[in-house]
Amino acid sequence: MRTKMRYIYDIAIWGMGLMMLASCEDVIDLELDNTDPRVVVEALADINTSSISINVTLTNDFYEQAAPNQVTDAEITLKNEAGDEVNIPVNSEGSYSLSPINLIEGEIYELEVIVDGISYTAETTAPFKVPLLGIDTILRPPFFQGGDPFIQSFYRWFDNENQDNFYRLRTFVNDTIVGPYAFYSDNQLDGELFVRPLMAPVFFGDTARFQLISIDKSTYDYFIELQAVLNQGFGGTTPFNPKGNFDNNALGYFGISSYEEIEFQF
Amino acid sequence: MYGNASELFVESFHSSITFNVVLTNKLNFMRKIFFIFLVACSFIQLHAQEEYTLSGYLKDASTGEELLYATVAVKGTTIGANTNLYGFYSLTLPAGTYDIIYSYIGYQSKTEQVILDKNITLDVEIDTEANQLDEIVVTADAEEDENIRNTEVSVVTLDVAKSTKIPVLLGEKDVFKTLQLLPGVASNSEGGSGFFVRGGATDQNLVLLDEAPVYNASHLLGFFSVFNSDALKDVKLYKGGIPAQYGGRASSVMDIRMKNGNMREWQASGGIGLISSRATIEGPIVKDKGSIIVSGRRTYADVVGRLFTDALDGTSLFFYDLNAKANYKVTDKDRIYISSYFGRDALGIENFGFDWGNQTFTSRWNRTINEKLFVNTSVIYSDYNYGFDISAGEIEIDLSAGIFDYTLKQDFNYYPNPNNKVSFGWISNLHRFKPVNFVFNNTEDDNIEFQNALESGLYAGNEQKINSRLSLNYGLRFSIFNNIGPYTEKVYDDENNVIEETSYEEFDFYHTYTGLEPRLSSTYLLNEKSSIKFSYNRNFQYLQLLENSNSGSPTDVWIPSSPFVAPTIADQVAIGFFRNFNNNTYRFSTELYYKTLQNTVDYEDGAEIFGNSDLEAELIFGEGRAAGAEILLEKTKGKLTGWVSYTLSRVRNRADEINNGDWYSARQDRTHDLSIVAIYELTPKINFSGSWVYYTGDAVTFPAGKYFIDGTLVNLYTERNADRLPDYHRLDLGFTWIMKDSKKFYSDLNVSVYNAYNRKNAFTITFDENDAGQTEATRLALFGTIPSITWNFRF
Repeated sequence: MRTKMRYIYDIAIWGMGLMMLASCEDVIDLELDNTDPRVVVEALADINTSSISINVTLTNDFYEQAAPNQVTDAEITLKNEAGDEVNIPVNSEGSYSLSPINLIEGEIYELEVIVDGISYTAETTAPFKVPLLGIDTILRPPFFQGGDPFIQSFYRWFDNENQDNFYRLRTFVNDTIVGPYAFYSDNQLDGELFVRPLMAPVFFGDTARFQLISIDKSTYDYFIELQAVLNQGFGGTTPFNPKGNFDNNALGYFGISSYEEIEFQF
Repeated sequence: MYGNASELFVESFHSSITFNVVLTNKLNFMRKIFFIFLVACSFIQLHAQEEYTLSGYLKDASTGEELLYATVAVKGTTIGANTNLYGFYSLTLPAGTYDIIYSYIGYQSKTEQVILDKNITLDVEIDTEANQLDEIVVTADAEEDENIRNTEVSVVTLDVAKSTKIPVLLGEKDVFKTLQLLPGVASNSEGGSGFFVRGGATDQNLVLLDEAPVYNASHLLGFFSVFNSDALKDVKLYKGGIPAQYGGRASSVMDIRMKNGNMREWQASGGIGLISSRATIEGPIVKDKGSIIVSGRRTYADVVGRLFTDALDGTSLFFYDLNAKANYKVTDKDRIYISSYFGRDALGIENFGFDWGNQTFTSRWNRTINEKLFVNTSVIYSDYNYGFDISAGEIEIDLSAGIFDYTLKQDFNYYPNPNNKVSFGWISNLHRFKPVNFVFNNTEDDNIEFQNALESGLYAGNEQKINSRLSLNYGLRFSIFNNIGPYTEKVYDDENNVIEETSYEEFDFYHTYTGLEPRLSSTYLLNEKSSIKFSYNRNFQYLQLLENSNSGSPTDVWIPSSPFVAPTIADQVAIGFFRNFNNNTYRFSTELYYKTLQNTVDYEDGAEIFGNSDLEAELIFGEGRAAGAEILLEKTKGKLTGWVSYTLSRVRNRADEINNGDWYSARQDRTHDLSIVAIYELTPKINFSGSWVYYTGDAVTFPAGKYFIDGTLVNLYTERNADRLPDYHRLDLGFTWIMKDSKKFYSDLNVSVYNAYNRKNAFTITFDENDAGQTEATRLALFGTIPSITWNFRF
């Protein structure tokens, strides 16, 4: 809905602007305050591949064009409910990963990241996998005169009853992610049938992979806030930093997911 | 949870005994106050021997329209009165012969000799200055000095006719935009009709159209107000010193009255512009007994837009308004009015439609009970609603939400003597809040639960002339707000999960707030041409608007006060100095104000407002304060007229959850706000106008760094609203040529240029990556130089 609203706003603004041949967008020089670098941790464990991948970086100044400052000397430990710990080593690309690891649905895991002697800890619960029943498709006429007809797709799945479930839909068309972020919760829809659209067209000849990703609550909450803050400009909310599940003022999140996938050649 | 306000003024009435005792005490207190008013007024009467009352209506001679707030003065004395909101006046004097001067700004004053040896009813008609003969020049000093003498502090009365001479965006005359050129009133965004009053948020302005509240006074995402100037008679904005008869908003009251319609002859008028046209027809139902007016306006931006671009094919983008009003004098003492407004916006693309709008209906009965007592009884309906319509193949989805008001009120004016004008009355307003209603393939969500609330008020006030120098206007309002079932009240934990639910049956009054709202304004005349004024008012606001975005949206949500949401309480003091110069050619005023706000409502970062049934869990509460100095210098006579307006202000907010609990600048914190308006009458048929606006850029939050999540650039923010948009300034120019001006036909051509020097004022600045992966700041400037042309006519 937010995306649709945004589209409508854009039409209204640009429609009026074009009509008056008056509105314009331009890049400006604007002096910005800088702040001390902060630690960013993006940690995602995947039940399908029994692996965990972690990226630890420091924030840059806004106009700094260099790549993110990666932290390669962090000490990272993953702990399960029983108190078993495993260290996650740095890999050749400067991030941290480990495979295989034993991830059990419904169990709580704790991740500790130590950077320059400061500890950042996050905790989350591994989600339960939910089967993707299928993808419904409808052939649509072209958007514009002279264009190609396109296929509108809908994910279809049943929510697991008596569980708090959270979902992300991710679609690859010809190996490229398409559509905006799509996150759903089963709040007040426990055990219901979900039919949710892909907010991007697919054309004949495309190869599409549809992923229904079951995610933990921490990831869901983080991305809902991230979505809101990315939607700036006209119709945007007051800017803020999305709150992840790490303590000590670290940015980012620690999440666990598993997915079901269907691939189509259209 | 409720903050300090709850400790002082808010009772949680789960115990009916406590409720009854407290409420009874407060009602008794109000009764005592009211009794004191009447006794005081009666006491004054006892001293008057053989007094008689002159009463009646003051009207426009050509149309029969009543003139509001006009002056009725006894020649050679300082005794006088003003007409009320319906044009009625009453003046009680000792028996004798008097010359009574009737005057009103823009009209020739008229003197009537009255032999007052009995109660007399006298309706008087006066002519506009436009109709006066050149050799007759009457200066209505009494009316011109009204700004010095009256007890109104922080009040703006807009001359609707004059406001049409000021150049505006797309030539669409708009009273809101004229008000934004005055001190203490600021536009909420480029080209927007929303406004901030003395640092208050946009939802803290009570906008009334013929007494009906208008919840969303904007068209086309805020670029135009819903008020068609052709249908308006009077616009009054109370920035402070709000009389006791008004309540329900923390910062201001905008009281807009529609025209009644010409009582003498049928008349049509209208205008044809580049993106909109309007037409009005008015005339007598029965000459001098009743009249009717119908006024409509429609934009065709989408149609014009399609001429320029194919991108708008298949889209709709328009709004329309319809104002209608009829009145009829049933007897010499009774008159009824029925007025209505209906307006709608529509935006859409092929399979997605979005529309929203207000409608109001007001029926009023004026009765002159006797020469000294006037009563108006009103029944009012108002709603604001919006809806989405989405179709995708076999799927049809409709979403709708809104607020619906049903109001009953009575207002009494009692004129015991020339030194006192007593007002008292009551109002009861049933609010119904419809949350987002989801209809899937024509199957409605059965769980939809309206929220109901009853907002009531009881008030009494007196405008009293203490002596020839000191006048007071004091009053007290008692407001009460009841949440009414059926409703399911929820209690949330720290993670916003519902941990407890309580269900209330239909008509259960499950929670109550009450408030005592003292109001005072006073004027002390230093001499005939200058005065100092003071005001204090306390206002309770029981409805809050949760804004979806930083620029306002039709889907912004109105929510009622509830056990979780305490009412906002505003206290404001203002002191002012008023001075007229050079035979009232120049008017100068300056005011200082300080305002505090308790229980302001905001929402948590990232809160989903649209369609969220647990919205209350995402709210946070804070406080606010605003202080400022306002200066206004007007030139009211001569070929060159206009004004210079300047406001110096500071607006700060605080909430525990924002900025580590420190005070921060509100978005509308604009340190400097300057407007210069000039209208030059080159000949009686040609005039030029211009306005220049400058203000400090809005307080905003810019990034202080960046990082990447999921391969996406995310900006890093530090302090809320610690940065500023670039300062805003703009010059608008206008030219009006009166092509024909006879009794039978009038027409003029208005050409205006918005943003004449093409200043690129930032509407938004976004911070993102470009195609080359470099981060940059991008400014969106909505309106460059925009010429417009409008042809207006009347016959």
